[in-house]
Amino acid sequence: MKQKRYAGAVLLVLALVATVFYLFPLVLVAINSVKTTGEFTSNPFSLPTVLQWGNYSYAFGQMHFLTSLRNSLVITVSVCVLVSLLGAMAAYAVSRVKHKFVATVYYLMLASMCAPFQAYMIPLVKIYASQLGMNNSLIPVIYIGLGLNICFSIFLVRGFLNSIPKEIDEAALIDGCSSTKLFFNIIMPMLTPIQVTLLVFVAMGVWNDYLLSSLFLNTQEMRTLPMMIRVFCAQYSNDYAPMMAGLVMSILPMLAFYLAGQKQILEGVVQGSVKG
Amino acid sequence: MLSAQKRDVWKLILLFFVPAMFVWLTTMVIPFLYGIWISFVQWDGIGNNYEFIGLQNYIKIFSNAKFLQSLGRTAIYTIGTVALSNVLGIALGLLLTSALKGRNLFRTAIFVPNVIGGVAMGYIWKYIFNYGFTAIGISLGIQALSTSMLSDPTKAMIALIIVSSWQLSAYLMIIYVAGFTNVPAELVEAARVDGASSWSVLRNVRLPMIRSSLTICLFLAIVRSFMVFEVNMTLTDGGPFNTTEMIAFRIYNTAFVSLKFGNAQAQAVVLFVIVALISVCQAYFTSKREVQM
Repeated sequence: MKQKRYAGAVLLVLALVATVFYLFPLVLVAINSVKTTGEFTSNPFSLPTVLQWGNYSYAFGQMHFLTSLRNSLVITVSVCVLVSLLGAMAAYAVSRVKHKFVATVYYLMLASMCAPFQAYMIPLVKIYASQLGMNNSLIPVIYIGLGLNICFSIFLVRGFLNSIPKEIDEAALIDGCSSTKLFFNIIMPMLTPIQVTLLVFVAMGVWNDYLLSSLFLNTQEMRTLPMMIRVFCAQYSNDYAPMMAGLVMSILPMLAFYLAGQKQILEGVVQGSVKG
Repeated sequence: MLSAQKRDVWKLILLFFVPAMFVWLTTMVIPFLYGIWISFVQWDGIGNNYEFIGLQNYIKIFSNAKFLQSLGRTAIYTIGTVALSNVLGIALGLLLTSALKGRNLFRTAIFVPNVIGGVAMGYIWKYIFNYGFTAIGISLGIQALSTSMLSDPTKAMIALIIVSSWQLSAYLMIIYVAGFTNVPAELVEAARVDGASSWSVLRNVRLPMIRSSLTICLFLAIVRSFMVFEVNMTLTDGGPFNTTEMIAFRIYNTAFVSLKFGNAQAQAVVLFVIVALISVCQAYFTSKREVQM
């Protein structure tokens, strides 16, 4: 009994040490975001003497925070809506239609998921920015973001659909329901759990993306949050305190999202890992 | 009846499958094939003046020491990150499936690094290496810590491995937690009753039982490390003196800084081949294991 309690205490200490290791960089940035740059450089571990909230208002204005936030939101929401709709529709076809064409394309789609983005990054810029003239527009970012996530979405939803009995489809079809109606009115609502898992996962990836957006967006009005952080940290490379404030502000939306949907996100990690 | 059913099949394909297929073709397949062609031309990215030069780009990159060095250091970085992140991930997985109070709370907290994007993460750690650790080094009089790790080539590489593993291990932890949770409790109990030590239970029962998680995590870590980009850009910016420029970052720089698009695309095709080979290995290992079981 005594030994068990001792073991429990050791485990707790280990877990606390681990938590400190994984969270201290963020805590440190948060603390230093309300100090002056001088206080930070002389001792990054000291607590603030006077809370410098001015860092936040300064960073907020300099970063054009709301503009970037809006762009990030527009891209993320659009990609999520399109991925969940087109992905589910295609997954339904893959799951219900027994046709060589669909099966072949589906396997090619799965195989293509392992290709690194760099392999088609340059042609994407050439096609969408130069040839189609969609430079500095959110549209190619949304469209390509959709393309980068569609295969994973089909894969995930298809697995879920296979567990929904086909008798449901047959009953509806016999009752004279069209296949379109069947899908949108009966199947789609049943997909909610897997869609939530998929979307929180996709949203996190799209929200944090830097590379794709940086290829197409170049003016300040078009920048996303990760791009803004990059520009801000490069420009004000000696003014650390507002930079910390900017970093905290850029993290907060996603952190809030995570705390609200953590169960689905962690579920998405497990489900997403078996895609290989 | 049959023709009506057949018509329905094509309706489903056209209406439901073709839109997604179109997106896939136009964002992945066509650009990929186009990319292979670009790797055979000399092109500065502006206008349409490209010239077909066959394998010249490939010959050029393979005779370029910097490209080979970049590949080599990406391999070193990958080995370091894969090892460290998996060791930490397994340790966390064990810890957070043990009889620990508030396990879920700890899991939630430790996963947080993955919520932050690569750009912000790189900057956060840059300040910690440049000011945090140096402050500790100076106040404790530790010579090795008193100058920033990021200004020394070897230490900068280690810093990159630490930061990547910090994030990746928290991600892998979730997969390992799922793996350890699925190990039947009776099996572990039976081994304990038979007098096996904790270490022996871990080595001979629990680790073999999570082999599929292990395969997934190893390959996930390999592929992710081989394609590292954002942290590379923000934490070290490839420096000092280009000694930490990994292959994905190098491709980006060759294309969008030096504007040598054909050359960059040839490097990208090489990266593709490497990642594809790794994926084939993964498929092989996964199917082999399934046959055994």
